[in-house]
Amino acid sequence: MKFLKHHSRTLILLALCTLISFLSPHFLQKDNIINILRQAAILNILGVGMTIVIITGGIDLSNGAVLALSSCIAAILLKDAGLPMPIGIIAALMIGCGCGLINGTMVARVAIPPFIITYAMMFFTRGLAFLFLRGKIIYGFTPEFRFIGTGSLGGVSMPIVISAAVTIIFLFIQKYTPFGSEIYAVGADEEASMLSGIRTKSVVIRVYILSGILSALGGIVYMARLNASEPVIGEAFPLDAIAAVLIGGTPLSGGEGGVGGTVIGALVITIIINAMNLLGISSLLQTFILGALIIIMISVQSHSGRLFSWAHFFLVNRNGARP
Amino acid sequence: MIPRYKMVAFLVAVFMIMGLILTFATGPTFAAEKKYKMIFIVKSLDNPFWDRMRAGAEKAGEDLGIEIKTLAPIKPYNVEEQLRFMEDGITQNVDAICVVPADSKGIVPGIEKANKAGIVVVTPNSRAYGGSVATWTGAQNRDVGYDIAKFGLKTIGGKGNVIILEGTPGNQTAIDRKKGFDDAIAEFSGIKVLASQTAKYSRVEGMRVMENLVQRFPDVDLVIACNDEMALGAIEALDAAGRLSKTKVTGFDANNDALKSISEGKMLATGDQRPDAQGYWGVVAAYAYLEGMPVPKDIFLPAPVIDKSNVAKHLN
Repeated sequence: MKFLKHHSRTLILLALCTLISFLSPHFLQKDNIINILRQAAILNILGVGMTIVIITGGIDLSNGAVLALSSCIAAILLKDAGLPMPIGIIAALMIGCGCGLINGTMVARVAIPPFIITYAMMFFTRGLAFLFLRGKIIYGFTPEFRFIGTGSLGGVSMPIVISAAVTIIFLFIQKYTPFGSEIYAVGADEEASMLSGIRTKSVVIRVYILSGILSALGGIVYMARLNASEPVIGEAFPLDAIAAVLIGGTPLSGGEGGVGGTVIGALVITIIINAMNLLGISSLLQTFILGALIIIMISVQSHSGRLFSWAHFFLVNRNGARP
Repeated sequence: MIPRYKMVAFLVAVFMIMGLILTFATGPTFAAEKKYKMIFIVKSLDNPFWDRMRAGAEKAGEDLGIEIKTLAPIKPYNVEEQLRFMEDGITQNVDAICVVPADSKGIVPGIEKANKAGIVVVTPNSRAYGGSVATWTGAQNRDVGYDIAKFGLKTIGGKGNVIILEGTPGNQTAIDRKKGFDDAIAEFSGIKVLASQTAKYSRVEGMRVMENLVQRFPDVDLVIACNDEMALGAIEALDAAGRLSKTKVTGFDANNDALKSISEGKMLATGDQRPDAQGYWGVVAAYAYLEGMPVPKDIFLPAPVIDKSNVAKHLN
């Protein structure tokens, strides 16, 4: 029972892969698997940030726009101003950090609902990106910068390396640091955790800052991979990231779930798109199929989760501790 | 001592207000005492194509001495926002509205409202399927598509494997361009179309779709894309897979990145629809109409195929 609960999303992923490998012989080839991992990398980086925000009971709708703004600023600094690479990257990360700080402060200290402030932040940052680039596209970066998106380290391509590193760091934070358990405590019951001495507001602010920084990091990988930066990139990211988090078993109510599941969620979404291209499914049908499959995945995931956690609660863990 | 959160909130507020002021200060405003007032609505700002059209429209406004306000939806290709711009224009009592419909049917209610208010409507680039429109300006998407595809197919010797990257499903330009590609392909018996998939007119989608298709098809001779953005994305994917030397890619629209890519020998060809001319002629036609001159229903503009041999004179 416990095995099933903890691995229900892995089973979903395996079932999906098995099904597609029967339909297309190209799916399980080494090159295609690397291709899928590379395509899932950016969604995973943003998904990790979204996960910790959602665990605290919040949401970050601004991540795609923050990605766009930070990559546009980095592109201007690198290409138009001709500054060295580290400055562009640090500036992008600072922008992400700043947007996250504003989001977090507004949520924690000014008590604006996260949905509202991050929605507003989405327009604010995207608007700034338009203002800076005026609908133009900056194209063609140096090979050193493009290494981040297209190079490889020890035979593994860079986006995968970065995405894996981010995942491992956040798995560590989630499991072994006080901050990690504070995130869950705030999401489960903010008042109780405040009374038990957790500085809840500071936890919430830090969570949004991390999400902002990860969005900016995603933006850097994105533009290095695409060899271009434009203000409209990443529009679909907030909802794709939320879908990845939900498929990964972190409910919107917060307090449970984790970064590990989101990796699987990001892979599931990327695999569906990859399979539709490999199978040559009609352009008109693709969006519909993606939506339908996400609905099915999320309902299977959340239903099995509830079922298993009830059984778990009664059979295994009678203290009623958080599963 | 002021609490820290209040100071942060204050700073944020200042930051946002400054952003707003900056936005409005640089945005278009109506100056007084010009002969005619017009608004010019494009489909989005996500493609340099629309920026060129905007520049053409503004140049026409300057040349003719009329006020032009150019507008674009925040959400790309969003017809609802375009309708809102039209309604705003009607209440401001403009003389003419030039609108590039993001949706040929969806824009009709706006055109009908403008007709009722006696405002001249011109649709550059894309057609509307209703209402009373003074004129349409643009290139025949089908014909330019046919020319580009034929050029690409001839370059690969009239035989081989082809992939088509389609535009956004349901979009009129996407349908017309694809029709031109199909007509050209039908003339060559040795051509096999491996796949025809949408990449939604976007560069990142073009890269993603091509990365996936490269896995399935080991031999691709030509990729025909419905616009430059998708073609440039496909080029990045092919380049990363080390296959750009074997596969030719054609685009559509002749934006700056595509021209640069052609001069670097990466992209094979593109077609220049001259969006600036479409915008310019749209405004000129509206002006002529307001002056009581007869205006043709369709104004066709020539659109040459650009490849390495003539790219230099288009590159600025």
